[in-house]
Amino acid sequence: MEKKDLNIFEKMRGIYTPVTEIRRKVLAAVARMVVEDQPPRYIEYIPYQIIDKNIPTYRESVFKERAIVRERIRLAFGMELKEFGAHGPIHDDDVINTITDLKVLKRPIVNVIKAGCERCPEDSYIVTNLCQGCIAHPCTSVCPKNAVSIQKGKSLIDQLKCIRCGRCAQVCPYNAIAYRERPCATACGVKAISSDEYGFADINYNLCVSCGMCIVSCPFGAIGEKSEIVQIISAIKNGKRVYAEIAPAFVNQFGPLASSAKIRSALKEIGFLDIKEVALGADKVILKEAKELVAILENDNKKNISKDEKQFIGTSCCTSWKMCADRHFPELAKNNISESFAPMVETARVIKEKDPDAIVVFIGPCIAKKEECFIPEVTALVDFVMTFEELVAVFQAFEIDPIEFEEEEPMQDASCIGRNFPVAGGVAQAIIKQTRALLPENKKDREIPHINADTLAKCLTMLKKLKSGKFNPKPLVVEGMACPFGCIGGPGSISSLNRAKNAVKKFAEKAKNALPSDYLKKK
Amino acid sequence: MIKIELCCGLNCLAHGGQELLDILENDEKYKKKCEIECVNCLDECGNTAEKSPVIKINNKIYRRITSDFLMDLLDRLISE
Repeated sequence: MEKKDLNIFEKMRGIYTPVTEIRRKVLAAVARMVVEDQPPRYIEYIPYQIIDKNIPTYRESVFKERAIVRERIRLAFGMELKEFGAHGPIHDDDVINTITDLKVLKRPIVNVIKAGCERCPEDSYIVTNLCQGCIAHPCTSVCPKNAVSIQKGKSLIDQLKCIRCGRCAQVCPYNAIAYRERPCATACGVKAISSDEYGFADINYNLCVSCGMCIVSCPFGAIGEKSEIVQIISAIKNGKRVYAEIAPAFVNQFGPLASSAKIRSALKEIGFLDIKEVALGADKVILKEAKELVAILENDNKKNISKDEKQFIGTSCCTSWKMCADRHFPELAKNNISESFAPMVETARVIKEKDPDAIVVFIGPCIAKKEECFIPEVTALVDFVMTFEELVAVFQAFEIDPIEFEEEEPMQDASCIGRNFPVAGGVAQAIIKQTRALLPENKKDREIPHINADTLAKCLTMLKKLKSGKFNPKPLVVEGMACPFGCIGGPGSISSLNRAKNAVKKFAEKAKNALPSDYLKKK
Repeated sequence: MIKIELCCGLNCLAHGGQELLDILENDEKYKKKCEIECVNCLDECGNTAEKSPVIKINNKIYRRITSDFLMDLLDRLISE
């Protein structure tokens, strides 16, 4: 069978590993505890429910396994992690304060559970035991730093001299030199992960954009994100007017049988008053950005565009991409990345306009949206964020399964191109399609150059090229997505990429309106 | 023809069912030889991660089936 080289964050995707199992079990147990109104002390029993054997299954001892589960529980409640070495019982700190319908989440969202970190060595080239100690030993000859030598008949790399150029690995006839990567650091597109003084992974929060790729890439499950399920369930139980907005990537996440109508019924059964598609907000964003693009195209005839003017439309729906661009290319981002807020915010605005007392819960595959909620304008509109994975835990806690509901009228809030947002390239395509429709007849066929990138590393390369003007023709629409293949590859998603992609496409075709301008009022 | 009924209840899908579905749908070999059906909850897992995912192959129930076990089992059934 042909094997494709996979990126580090693709390697474990779609495979149900024990790491995934523990994560989902913890979320379900925590959700169940809140649904059943258990007293805070009950929290101490959860590690024993999840690690219920007396012999170690995952690590060297059951006590360590339970200690790490304990930390995961802390994150699931939205609490701060304890300083490493300062473990204490969970129930007497802040549990009471977290079982509330108010927002308790604080930055940072993505946290390293130091107790679970196995201190993987940082990236290095190592000689494996495939080394035959050959006479030619080309590895020593090609090393520019004279770091490879032959010791006891095998080659040896002096790590202090090695500059990780990889020439030795390239020339070894036995493929005996391997590149050892640190999964979390390799997955991080903005290079925010390094080691602390003891060798544990450490996140630099000045760089981190909370994309969550390290979470799904750590084979030890040592990185986790804070969750708000406890507060969401509490809000519902306290009788607050809770509304859900569900990201367009939701199709197929709860299985091929869970249609949009069934998911809506199930959410209503939990206690959400109404459910809106976030694709509706996406439509508004498309319309706004398309109008901006029309303005740029009209300016096109002018020969000298000043540097402060908009040169292209940078999409604004992916929080991580926007943060990343803002930090690394502030000028480029300030002038060109669209001012409009993400679809999540626009949809929340629609809900809050109708019902000012509404509590809006965004449900999506995204962790960075939790980060976005700290922007003051967004805080006022979106109250909580939960991922699909967390929603499954909530469904399980309420013992509700979407597929058991009757098939009803499907969701019908948005247009076809708005629903195509979660697939990489979809946003750029949507803006172009809408722009074409807005342009006057004689200009409809004009070419609109566009580029897109998924994953932050590729986004940064794209921005770098863009700044130095290496693209020809100059792109007018620039789309960035932090997750591989777009939102469907988000860290909080459940479905496999291929199936999600096809399902999103099919669901988009079912939309009544092809374009947002077909049904949104022209302002 | 091997008859496969995959439980598509939420619990089974969240605990490994998606992976099984992936294998069954992406492999031509299984597509040809098996009749794959996604069915409503078979009610066999008791809503716990310990017993899911559940799959019914030729009317026989398998609980907590892993992808490697499934592929091995199907290969054996196909060669029979």
